[in-house]
Amino acid sequence: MRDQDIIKILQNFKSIKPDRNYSEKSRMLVLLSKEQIADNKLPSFKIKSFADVLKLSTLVGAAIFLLLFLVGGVSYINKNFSPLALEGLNQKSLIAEAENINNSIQITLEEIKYLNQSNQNAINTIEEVSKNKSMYVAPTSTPSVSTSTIDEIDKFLIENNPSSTENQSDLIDKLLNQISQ
Amino acid sequence: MLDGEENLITDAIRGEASAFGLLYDYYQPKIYRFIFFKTGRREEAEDLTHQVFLNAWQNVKNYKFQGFPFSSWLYQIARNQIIDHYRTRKETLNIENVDEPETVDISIEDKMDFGLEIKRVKKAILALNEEQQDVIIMRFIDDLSPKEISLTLDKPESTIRVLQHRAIKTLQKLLEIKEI
Repeated sequence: MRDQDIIKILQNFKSIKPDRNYSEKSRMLVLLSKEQIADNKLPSFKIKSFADVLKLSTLVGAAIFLLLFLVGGVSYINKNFSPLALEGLNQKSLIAEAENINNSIQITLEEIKYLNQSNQNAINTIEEVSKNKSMYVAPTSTPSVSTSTIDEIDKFLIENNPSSTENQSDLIDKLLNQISQ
Repeated sequence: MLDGEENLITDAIRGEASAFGLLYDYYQPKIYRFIFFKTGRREEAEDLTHQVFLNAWQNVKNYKFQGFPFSSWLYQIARNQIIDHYRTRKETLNIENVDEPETVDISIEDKMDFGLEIKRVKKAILALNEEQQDVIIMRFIDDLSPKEISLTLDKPESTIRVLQHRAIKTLQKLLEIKEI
């Protein structure tokens, strides 16, 4: 058998074909398989050309710009025009206000403490006075002496003419000597 | 190579089933013959051919021209499919269990000795080593050019010609033995 004979035999096998029914069924299943997989996947963009890429990037860019614009706008409005934007909401002023309130509370507390202390002192003094009543009562007998002394002074002044200024100093000296006695 | 194949491939990559359908119609018989002569069994050839085109359709977006014709890509998938098939089955082909002739053109089938000749040659092909089998089937049964075969098997064209020559000589010897 020559080489050409073998090649001729082999080339005859080109006519071998798969069963037609099998081929049709297999073809259909193969082509359907991708659609089934695509159906199971999440929807996605089909980018076919540069124009599609451009469209997609424009859309994404516009969406980002819109988002930033909205966030910025909301932030600006909230800062400047919102009814919630009170002075008290400013952190620095809030702290200052809190410090003022704190200081006034401190002053009030000190006043209360002072008043409390002075009250206590007054009570103590009253108690002490009530304890030593006899000691303070004793001097009440002296007014008789003093009233008599005053009467004597009056008499002395009437007897001696007080208009004469010459002997005035002598008179005062005498009077003082009498009081001291 | 199919007319307008590049356009069909581009459309298939975009997901157009009709384009891949035309590629299927052109290449399916070739891949079937290749697998049939490699496995020797009709059912296995049918199952594996179906798997090859299923994989090709699922992964067609990964195909890039880069000098490799589409046929080379399909044959590479087919070769890997056959290797995986025998690896998972963990059995080797017994050339005595080769199936009877396949569906052939009626005019050829009418020839009384054609069926017997197919069985004889198929056994002889299965007696060749893997590389010689590939070269003989691709070159003479599937009608691929030496360049296409070299791209598919990733070997120089000169190596393909040497393998082809050795395969023919081995087949010649095998077919001259009456027992086969």
